[in-house]
Amino acid sequence: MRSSQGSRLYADPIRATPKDMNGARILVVEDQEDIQLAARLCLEIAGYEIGVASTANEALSILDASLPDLLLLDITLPMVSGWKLLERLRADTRFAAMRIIVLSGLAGERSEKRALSLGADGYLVKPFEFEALVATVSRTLVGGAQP
Amino acid sequence: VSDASGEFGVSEDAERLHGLRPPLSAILAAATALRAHVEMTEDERDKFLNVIIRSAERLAGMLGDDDEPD
Repeated sequence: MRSSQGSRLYADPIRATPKDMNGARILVVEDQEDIQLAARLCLEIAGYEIGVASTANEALSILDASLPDLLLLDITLPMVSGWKLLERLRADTRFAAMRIIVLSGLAGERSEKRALSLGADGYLVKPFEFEALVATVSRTLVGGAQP
Repeated sequence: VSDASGEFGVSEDAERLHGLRPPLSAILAAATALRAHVEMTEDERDKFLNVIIRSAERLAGMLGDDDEPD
């Protein structure tokens, strides 16, 4: 049975039939509790296994222990920003295969270009609809670049 | 005022509006998940509804902080 809070490290069981990538694990790095929970629930019903972190340092601790297939990374994190975490992860070869989607409230082209230039594989603007979240994650997991 | 992107010049109003974004984002994501008719359990449906209600309450609280009369 899935726990309501769960461990922050993928303690929840994998849903039986993920729709695209079998066993895909996603770490949601988002400090806003409401968005973190909504994103987690959305991705869980889409068939993914979800871990959550609220800060960059918490994300790094989780990543040291277990490598997800994809990181959904909010940019406006407290203390260490998502930009800094993105740079750090892309400078570390251990995380080269991990796909990263930047989650941002900044809708401007400049911000998206910055994310992609720093090594992000996708960019999603908040607020987002369920379909957009799942489509972006699915597309990014199977290796497609952003259109 | 600057945001985490290091971009300066964000006005107080813009910053305040920015604060409305998290609960709005949660409401939109949860409501559209329910609309999508994805297979889910009653427990999962309740969790989405709780996200919507809690976030709406948070929004109402933020808007209630406004000194402007109705």
